[in-house]
Amino acid sequence: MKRFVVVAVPMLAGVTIGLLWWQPGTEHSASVQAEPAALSKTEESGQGLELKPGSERRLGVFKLVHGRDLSLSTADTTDGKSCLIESGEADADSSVCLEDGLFTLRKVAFSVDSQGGPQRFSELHVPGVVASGVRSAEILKTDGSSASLDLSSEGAFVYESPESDLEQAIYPNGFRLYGPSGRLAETVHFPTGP
Amino acid sequence: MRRLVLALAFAALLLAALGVGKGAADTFYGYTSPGTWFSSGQGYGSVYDNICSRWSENHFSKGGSAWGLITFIDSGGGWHDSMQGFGWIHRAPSSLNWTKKLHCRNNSGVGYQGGCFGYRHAYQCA
Repeated sequence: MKRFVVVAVPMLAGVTIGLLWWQPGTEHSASVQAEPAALSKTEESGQGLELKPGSERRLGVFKLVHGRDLSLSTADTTDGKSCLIESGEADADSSVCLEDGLFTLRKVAFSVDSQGGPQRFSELHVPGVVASGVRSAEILKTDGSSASLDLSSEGAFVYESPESDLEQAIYPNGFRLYGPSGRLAETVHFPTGP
Repeated sequence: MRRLVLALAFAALLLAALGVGKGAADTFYGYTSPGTWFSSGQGYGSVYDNICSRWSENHFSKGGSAWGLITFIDSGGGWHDSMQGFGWIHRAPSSLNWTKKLHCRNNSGVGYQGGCFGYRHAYQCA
């Protein structure tokens, strides 16, 4: 037993010291010392938003170009806002919340999410959901072109800017939304480019 | 066996004394006042975080017609996990373990009132 203790205590001390100094490497690791690993998504998300129980509506999971999954849902907050909520494996949790419903001011609720900048973006995607009367939609771009959006059965979409667009600083800057008869229902412009 | 148990207990106490582990709940921190006027192009930033307290969320509270941006800025000035939208926008960083500050900006052509705040996650530091 004595020999076991003689071996176990130094081993434990070694493991302890190793745990104190080890950390997973990241691109920013040079500035970080002996810090706990990243928290899980559930621990990080949405502390300023108190969601009304039972109000969540799942809109679907979308596969991004690099293979990541992006999950969209809507929910109401206890203080009367309606939110479009985005969560993913590697992507940060985010939400857009509007007073008096998601579609009171426009027939699409969305955000513009990006990495990189401020001069140039390395990734950019636009998650959103259209109002029930909208049957098809296009996203408008800063070069004057447009691309049709692939709407899910719930009216949700995720548009990703292709790398060729980002290299040329071509960004989404609006939507054209069409009703059941194919007539233009609304044009929405982002107040500025991203 | 008794000495082994004592050694393990000592190691556990050592870890606790050195402050390894997660701290208390995240803390609210406003980096503008509520109702701050944002003229076109105007932005505000928080202080940088540190290894004892990491920014875990960024929020921009404003009206449904107000278009704005939130982002996390690294120590070299690069932007990460940016988001633009109408209304109240919120985003968490993809990971916490890097030095960053919060930033919010009115990147539209018209002025409006709003407020920017975040949450900091505290770690027990030695």
